Amino acid sequence: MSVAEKVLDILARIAETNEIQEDRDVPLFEWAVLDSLKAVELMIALSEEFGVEISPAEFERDLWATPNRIVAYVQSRLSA
Amino acid sequence: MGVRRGDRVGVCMRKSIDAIATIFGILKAGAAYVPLDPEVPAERNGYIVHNCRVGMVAMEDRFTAGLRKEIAALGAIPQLFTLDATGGGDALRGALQRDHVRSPPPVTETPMSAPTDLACVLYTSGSTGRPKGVMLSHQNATSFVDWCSDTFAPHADDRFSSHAPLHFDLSILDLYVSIKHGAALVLVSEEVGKDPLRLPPFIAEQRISIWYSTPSILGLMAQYGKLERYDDNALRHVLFAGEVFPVKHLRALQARCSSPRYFNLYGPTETNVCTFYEIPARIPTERTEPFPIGKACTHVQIRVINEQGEDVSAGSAGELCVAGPGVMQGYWDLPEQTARAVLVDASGQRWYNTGDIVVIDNDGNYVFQGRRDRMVKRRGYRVELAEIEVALYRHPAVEQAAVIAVADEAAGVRIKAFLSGRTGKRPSFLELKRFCAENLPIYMVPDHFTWRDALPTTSTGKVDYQRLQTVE
Repeated sequence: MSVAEKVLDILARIAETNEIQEDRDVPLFEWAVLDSLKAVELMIALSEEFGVEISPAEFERDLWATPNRIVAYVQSRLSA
Repeated sequence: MGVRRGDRVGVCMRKSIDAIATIFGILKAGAAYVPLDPEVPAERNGYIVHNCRVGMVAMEDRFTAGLRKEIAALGAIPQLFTLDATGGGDALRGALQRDHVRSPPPVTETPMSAPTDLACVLYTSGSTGRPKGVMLSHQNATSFVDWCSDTFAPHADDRFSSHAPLHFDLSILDLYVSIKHGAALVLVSEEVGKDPLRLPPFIAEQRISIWYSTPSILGLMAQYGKLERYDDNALRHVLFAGEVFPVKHLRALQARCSSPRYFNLYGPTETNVCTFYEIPARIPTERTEPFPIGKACTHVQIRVINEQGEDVSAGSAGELCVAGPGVMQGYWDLPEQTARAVLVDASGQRWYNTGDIVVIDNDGNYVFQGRRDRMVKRRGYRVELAEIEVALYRHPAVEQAAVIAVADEAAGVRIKAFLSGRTGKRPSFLELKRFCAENLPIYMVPDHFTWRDALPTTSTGKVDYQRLQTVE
């Protein structure tokens, strides 16, 4: 499974919908698909899956706004 | 700007020195402020501005376009006083200077407000689908503030957090107890206030000594905030209100942040805080039951009544009612709703029925059992489930909508919407989320949507909410 697929799987689990795997430009926070609590759960799950510490201090709503941006962020952290 | 004693002025700004100064200016003019949450759909604020017959709105430029359009749709636009930003006060100063150049303000005597004059109107969720305005007088606020002085012994060296938004009644403690004692008020921005990792260092660095918020952010800090790193903080009181604080998280918080005293404060917007309970210094590990809401504050009287209006005996459940100077003046422009909520007894005393069911324990503390109706708390915000239903009904594909709340250990409460549709094509989960986010404050957007061919009904043809609760 690619990094993107793994990220989207985790996101789908936490957002409680598979639709974010199809629609990757959904504004997750604007549409209340994720809230602050779920954002923290997401970062912890991503940290555990990929073995990198993604801390909620890195969180910025713009960077994490959509499924695509989340995938891009994780990919950039992994290649850093 | 022509604001007179008795007027109402809307304030739509992010938390900032400009916003606080604006509020004090409004009060000084003898008017009442009507705080508008910048984060809700503009339509909601437009409704409030109109409903409250606000003469002027002081706002940030960034909110003007949306709000102006919504207000115009409903009728006349009040005077708008706009700031181009908010922050340390420069924007407000700039806006005032521009206004003074146009029309220098006359020197007037500061009007003295009467105790029963309105200080603010705070809007909360309404079961009819429209928010309702709670009218709070100066006396409502000062009687509460004086109780805080007696209970928490604040002093000029204290540094109070301002975490709650200005449209929340928690802010009454933050703004006015601090100023009464000449203490500092440390504004917490909306972004930092939601962040369990940035808050603990902020609290420590800012030397905040009195913290007041809803439990949810405290619970998040306890779980994710790495509090052990910030045990050198100045906290001496941690106050929380607005919803039940799960004991598991409260214990974890207290274990990692053990120097302050912890208080559970209870009271609806209609009365502000009316009972309180101090959490024991060490919470036993076996305890899972939430703590009591405690005993009556000295400035109010409490009764617990049954359906016939009689005081219940110890151990029996009843509805908590409050009397005294803390009780609101009423709901703005809703005399019938006010009359249903505030009952006058034989001696002429006004009692507010909270709709909260409590039991009195062996120590004389009130213990919260649940609600009489379909209102729940979500992140400290009041949510009338019926208000969510009204919004869902606006969706063209929705024929029937029933919303329930289910207790959840992690999130506190989960909101589930059950829908049945007219046509075959059902909107997706994301589409429904979007629709709700555009029509409701974000904390009212349901977590789940389930479609049914038809919703279960009772023998009288109403939606059978009990059955929906047991669905899994």
